Amino acid sequence: MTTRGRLSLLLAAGLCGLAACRQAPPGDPDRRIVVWEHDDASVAPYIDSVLAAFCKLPGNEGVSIVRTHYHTEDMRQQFQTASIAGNPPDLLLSASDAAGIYAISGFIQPVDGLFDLSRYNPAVVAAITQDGKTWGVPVTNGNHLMLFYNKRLAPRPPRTTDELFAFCSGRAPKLGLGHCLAFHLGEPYWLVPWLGAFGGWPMAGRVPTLDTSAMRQAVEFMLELKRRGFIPGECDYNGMDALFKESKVAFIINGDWAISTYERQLGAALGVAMIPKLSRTGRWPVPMVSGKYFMLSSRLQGRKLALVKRLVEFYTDEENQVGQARALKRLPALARANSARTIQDDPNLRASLDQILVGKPLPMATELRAVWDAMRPLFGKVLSGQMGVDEAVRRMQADAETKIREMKE
Amino acid sequence: MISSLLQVARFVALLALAVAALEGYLHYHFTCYGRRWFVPASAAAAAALACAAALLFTGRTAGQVLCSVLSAAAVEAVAALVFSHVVRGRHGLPVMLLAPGLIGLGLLIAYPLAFEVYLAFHDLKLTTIMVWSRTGYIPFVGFKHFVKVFTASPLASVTFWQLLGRTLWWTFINVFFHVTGGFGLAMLLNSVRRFRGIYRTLLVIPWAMPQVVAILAMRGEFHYDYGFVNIMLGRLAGHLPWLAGWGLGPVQWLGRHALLTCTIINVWLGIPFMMVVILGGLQSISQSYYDAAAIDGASAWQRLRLITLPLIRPVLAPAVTLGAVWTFNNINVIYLVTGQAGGSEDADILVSALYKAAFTFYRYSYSAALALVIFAVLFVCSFLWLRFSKGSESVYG
Repeated sequence: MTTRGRLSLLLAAGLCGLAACRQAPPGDPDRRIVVWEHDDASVAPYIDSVLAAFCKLPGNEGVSIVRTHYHTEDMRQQFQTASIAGNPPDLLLSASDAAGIYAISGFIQPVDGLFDLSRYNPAVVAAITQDGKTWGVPVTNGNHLMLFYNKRLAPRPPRTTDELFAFCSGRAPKLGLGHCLAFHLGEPYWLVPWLGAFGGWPMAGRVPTLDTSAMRQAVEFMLELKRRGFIPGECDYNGMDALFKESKVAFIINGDWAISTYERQLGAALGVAMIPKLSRTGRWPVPMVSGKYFMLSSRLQGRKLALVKRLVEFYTDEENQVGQARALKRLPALARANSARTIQDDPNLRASLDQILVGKPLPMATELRAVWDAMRPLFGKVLSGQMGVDEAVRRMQADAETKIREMKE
Repeated sequence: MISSLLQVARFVALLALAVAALEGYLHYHFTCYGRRWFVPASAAAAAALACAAALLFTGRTAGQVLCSVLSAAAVEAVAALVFSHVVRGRHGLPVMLLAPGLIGLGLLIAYPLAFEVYLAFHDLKLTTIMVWSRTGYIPFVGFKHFVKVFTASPLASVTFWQLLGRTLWWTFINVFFHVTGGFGLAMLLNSVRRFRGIYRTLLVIPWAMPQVVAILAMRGEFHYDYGFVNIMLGRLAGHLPWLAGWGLGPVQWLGRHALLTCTIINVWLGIPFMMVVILGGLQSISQSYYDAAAIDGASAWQRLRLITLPLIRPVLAPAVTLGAVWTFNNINVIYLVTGQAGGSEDADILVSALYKAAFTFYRYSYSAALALVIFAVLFVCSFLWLRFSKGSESVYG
């Protein structure tokens, strides 16, 4: 055989060997759990620590857990693709907003009967319940908006919008603040608490309820905040976040996911409070409340399902729920854990809990997506002065109904 | 790290083995076609391989295994007959060289395109996806989605025809400024003798930077309160009150002029590419043409019109075609400037509306039909442009 022939044979043998090698011993596939999550990068060490603790429990020898992180939208698309291809992850650790899509598509399975859901806060369970079925096990309680304030600029939080306005027109200019409050103006999720304070809500069951006087009043209220210069003329999420972190505004309305970040940034100067009561109606703003959930792939069954069930129960037991509140500053979904000293002694977590109590569950209906998409551009047009409030509200309703019809037909 | 590298190496090895198997198969068929045993031996080998695969990789029944073996033998027998009676060893080398590329293209382009066509004539959406994932069945609906594309817009407040008009206008304006801006800068650079490399590097930065970073940075500059553009406009109006009297001042760029903002950002992003392409064309023109024109007393305008423009046409025409296609399909700028979660519809073009239909509302079949319509529009426009601009013809011929 020539040298070239020998080399070719050697190369072919090498390629075959490399192709045949596997990256890790496969072990028992029923003892290997794949978890996908889309949480903040700072949360990953906490998740890994709990998953590692589970693997060390007696009886869990040989169990391996693979956690993969995705961005929110990527995870939604990848999960759909993987489910259609027949190779989905076993568990999703996710917010509830896409659960409706997964449920309708048959990608996740209901958890009624598998878990004792009465142990969790009712509102957080309600946010993942549709047509009498519950589609996830709650891990955190919240994902809700609340007021954060910088104590160096405002020592006490305003309890009412009158107090807020008094600060904004009185003390804020003296402090050299261009605006006193910031929130995400482009996203209707931030409009909802005020809509609730005027007595409205974007959906009743699966039907959009946007063309209401409450909506008109809520949008007018936003315009008033802008007209009086209390909020920036344009403000997206990154914008409001930067303004608050750089102490250019005294108050920000943001979600519970930001508590730990702002605590690191502002330290003791950070205060958390309820969004001020609307003086005009005497009602508290009503943020949407949901949480983070474990969702189980519809393909899980038998021994693997039993193992995953044990993992979820371990992850959401009282000790880990309190540990989660301590590490991540997120409220536990387990009702019993709310009374833990960690939460009761932490003023920021207590304020977060107070805010949840006036909130309402985020609807799980897939129609909500159409509602957001109908509200977003028209709300933007009103804020930029291109459309009147009345016309915008009427069109929001019509557009939402059209989009829902198109989704279904 | 090591496991990731091993995974990549394993994938490359698998790919190399697949290519080697394909080349081996073709080599055998191109060289052994004349042997008496060729057809029966090929069919027998295919049957044996099919049998081994069916037994090793799946847990099929005996009937299914037999069926696979017979099918493989029949298909291979037909292929062997074609090679021995029709091909007869001709064009062996070109076919073997082209085969991996053709098969790769087929898998990456032809199959998705064919599936897109299939989807457009069926009804895959939120409520049918579960049935499809479990049974593989999607109802056939014929041209229903194509009719809907023209009659029902994917957006709430903009019709399909408005969207098409807006997309064509967006493409024209962007490409116009890309070409004129790029041409102007390329002419300047071509005439500069010192530090040309430094200038070129500086000018190419917007294009070389990751697009997401560049777009988000520019988006910040158009912020109403804190953006550079409005700060400058505000200061200008403050220093020159007569300009303020004419209405000059901060503008709600993102709220009121979303499409204009997207256009300015995309023009800024696209000029460097066109500049580099045109500069390459300009530098390839021989100086002797200009010397001869100067002797004949040609003016600068005549030199530009009669020498420069015709001679850079072979470079410019494909670049304009590519630029037009990229701009027509440019979802990045619209998506990142108007908000990742849906945003204003004021700046939406066909592809961003398509994205919303597919990934916000899960109307997959409708989106497939819309994508095919967009493909047809682009195909016709590109064909007409190349035909009328004579961009594919040689200027020297």
